[in-house]
Amino acid sequence: MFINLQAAYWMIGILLMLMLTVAVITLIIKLNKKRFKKKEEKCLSGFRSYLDYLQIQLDNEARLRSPRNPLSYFEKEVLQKTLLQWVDRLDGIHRQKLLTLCEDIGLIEHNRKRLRSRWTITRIDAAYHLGILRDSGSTPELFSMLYQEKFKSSVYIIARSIAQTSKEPNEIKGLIQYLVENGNENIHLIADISKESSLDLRSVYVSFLYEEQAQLNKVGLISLQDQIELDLPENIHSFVQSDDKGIRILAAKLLMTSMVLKEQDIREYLQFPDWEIRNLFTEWIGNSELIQYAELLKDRVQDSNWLVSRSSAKSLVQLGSRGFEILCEIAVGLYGERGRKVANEFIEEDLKQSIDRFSQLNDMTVYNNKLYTYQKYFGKNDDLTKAI
Amino acid sequence: MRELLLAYGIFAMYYVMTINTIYLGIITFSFKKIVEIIKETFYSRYEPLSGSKYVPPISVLVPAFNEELTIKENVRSLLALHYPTHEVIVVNDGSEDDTLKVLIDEFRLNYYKPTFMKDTIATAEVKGVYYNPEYPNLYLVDKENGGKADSLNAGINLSHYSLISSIDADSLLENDALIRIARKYMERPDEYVAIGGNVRIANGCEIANGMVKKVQLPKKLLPMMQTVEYIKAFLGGRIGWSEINGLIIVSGAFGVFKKEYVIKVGGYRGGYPGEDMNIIIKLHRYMLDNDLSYKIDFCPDAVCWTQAPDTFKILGSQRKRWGRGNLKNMIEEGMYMFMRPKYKIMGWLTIPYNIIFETLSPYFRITGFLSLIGYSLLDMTGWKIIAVFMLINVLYGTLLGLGSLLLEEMAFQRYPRIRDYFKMVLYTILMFFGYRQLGIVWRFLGHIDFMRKNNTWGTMTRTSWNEGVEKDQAA
Repeated sequence: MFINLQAAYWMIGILLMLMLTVAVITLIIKLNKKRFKKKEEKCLSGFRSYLDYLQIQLDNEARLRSPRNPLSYFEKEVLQKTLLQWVDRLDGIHRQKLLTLCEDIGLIEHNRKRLRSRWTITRIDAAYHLGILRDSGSTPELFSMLYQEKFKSSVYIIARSIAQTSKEPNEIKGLIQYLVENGNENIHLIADISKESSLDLRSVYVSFLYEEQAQLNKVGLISLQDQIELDLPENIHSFVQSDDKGIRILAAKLLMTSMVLKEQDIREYLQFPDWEIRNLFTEWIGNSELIQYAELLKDRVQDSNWLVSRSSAKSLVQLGSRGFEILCEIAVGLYGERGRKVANEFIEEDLKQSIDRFSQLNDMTVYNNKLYTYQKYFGKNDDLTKAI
Repeated sequence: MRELLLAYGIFAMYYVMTINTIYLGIITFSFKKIVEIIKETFYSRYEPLSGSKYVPPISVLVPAFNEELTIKENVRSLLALHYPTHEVIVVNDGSEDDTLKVLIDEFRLNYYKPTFMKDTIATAEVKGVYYNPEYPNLYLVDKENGGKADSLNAGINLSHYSLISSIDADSLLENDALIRIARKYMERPDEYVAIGGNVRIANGCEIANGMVKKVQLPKKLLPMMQTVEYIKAFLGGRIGWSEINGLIIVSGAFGVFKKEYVIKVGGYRGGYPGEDMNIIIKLHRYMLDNDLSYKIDFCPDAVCWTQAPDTFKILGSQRKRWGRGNLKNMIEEGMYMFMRPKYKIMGWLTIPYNIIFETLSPYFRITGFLSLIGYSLLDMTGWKIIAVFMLINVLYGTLLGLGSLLLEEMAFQRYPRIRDYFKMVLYTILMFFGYRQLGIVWRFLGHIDFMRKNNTWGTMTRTSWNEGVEKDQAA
């Protein structure tokens, strides 16, 4: 057995030194933070009346004035914290007024300088704040910072800032392409980041639908779902036949939100091989109360996938008296055994719910109608009466 | 004989020193990752993200067995999470108390036949599903008792979303915990199969409406010991292990999983404790067997607060359970991955470390300790050697504890008071004088339970989250 007491003493010495160093570093950080917090509170109390003035003047047309005295580095940091919280919460003209004030105070210049710091954490902090400040002047520098950064979480922090600051749709396009090429199926995060931009990016998203890269197609399909004026490109239907299931589902969602579907299309999607797409459409018919498609849900209650079957029954309940009658037809076995159980369950539940909502005359009429339909198919059912 | 006892005792001390050295390596990885964690924690914009429709929906699964005291607050806090789309599925695992009634009354839930449920994974019989459209994202599954793993599997069978989150019914999630994990997931959704959250001790904290309002250190000895123990394990250990994709456990108290893969590995293993470790090992094994690119990660800024046992009896039960679960997992899964190149870090480092330095540690430590006692009874001429080695191990362990406290200070600062730091340092040192040794003995007793096929849950009592507040008000 190797025993060297001298080496062991050395080890004890080294361990004690390390322990002391770690404890001292921790205490220094702790004390610094405490001191910083105290100083910050003191500084903030000095700004109290100025911040009150800003809150009062925010609704007035006049430009907000900067504090009288020039601000120190620390004061800028403290004021920035409060002002940017407001910027984040406000919108429209109020936000614009505050952003102008931030520029007047020198916060943009302050952060641009910090963007060149040799400390990575300071650079990220500056990038984050420049994003909230919507400083388009720092976009090129943010891009070079993005390209130099290892592809980790901080890349997305910088990317979000670029999306907030950029005034050029092509820059956002380049940003998205960079994130797609270097990332890993991060399409939803990219779509979320691109939503930070105040630009009209419709043409960018449409252009992605003509790219060869599947990930870019996906970003396009996701992001276009949010466009209010939607004039879909012709190739959209081809995506529903894609080999990539993710693309098929996204394309179906986009078609659904665009409301450009004909009855024949809906019929096809309700029989689509992917259960996710069938489910999407059954839910959509119910939620949008598209009564004209009630008959199409008949087969879907009998779907082999339990989720589709249940969604269809739920949607039929949402489609009023005709939907309820279809459920009764299925439950009584008019179309075979499949789906009877699910239909029965939803009928009973709907009748129970209808009784619970018995507060208005209209509710009573609805309930009586449903009960009449039920009894037409099942006769008088004591078990059900007991249950409800 | 004397020399033999001394030699074995020294060997046991080298053994402990090796554990500490490996841990030092792991904590170095934690330090390497901490700057990136600081950036993520402070500069990822969680507020807009928590309202974004691009965030993946999550099914939150809450197994509940005799949780009548805490379940109401917990469910309320889960429903109030800042997350765009999530459902909460509470699974009542045949509770003998009023867990079911408390929930039905509180949320006015109606009974439904369990046709809701798929039978993707076999479970004990489900008696019914309770639901109220006024709480559209809350489901209560009532089933026969089958254990925690069985309840999680039942929850999976009902879940509607592709991501599931397992949460202990005696734990409280911070409002942004789920969105923080989701953000991480969104960066590499096709690689992440599981992401664990950070579990912290809630004893001593001020809690109201199912939320931790003021973070404070526990006043009692045992919860305090566990506070520093958890900080070391989660910040010092798991950050580092996750950096090298060698994480062997995602705490059962809070983790997010890709449902597809949990189903592919057969769901949670029932019948034994340690299902949280078991599922992670199975996921590693499945992904590596099928040569799939994957990552199992840890998200330290996603925080879940849990009640720590505050009596020796309850703590002993918990630790014996952990010991039993660990042994079962190593026999059932670990042995097949031990030193096998195809299992990469898991095969070369995580599993060997666990078998040699976790599972077998009670044997080496207890026998080493006994041999040193035997030696000192025979002759004490080598006392200096023993004292020096013991001191090295205490200092080494304390250094690792201090390192974890530094990580806490750098990135999270949950305990900002200076005296809190000194209190934590004190308990980090105190831990080596009785508490650690007790832990080893409990683990050994857990192994004995395993051999005797004693698979009971042991003592576990819950305290209401409001108890502390009520006591304060009464005073």
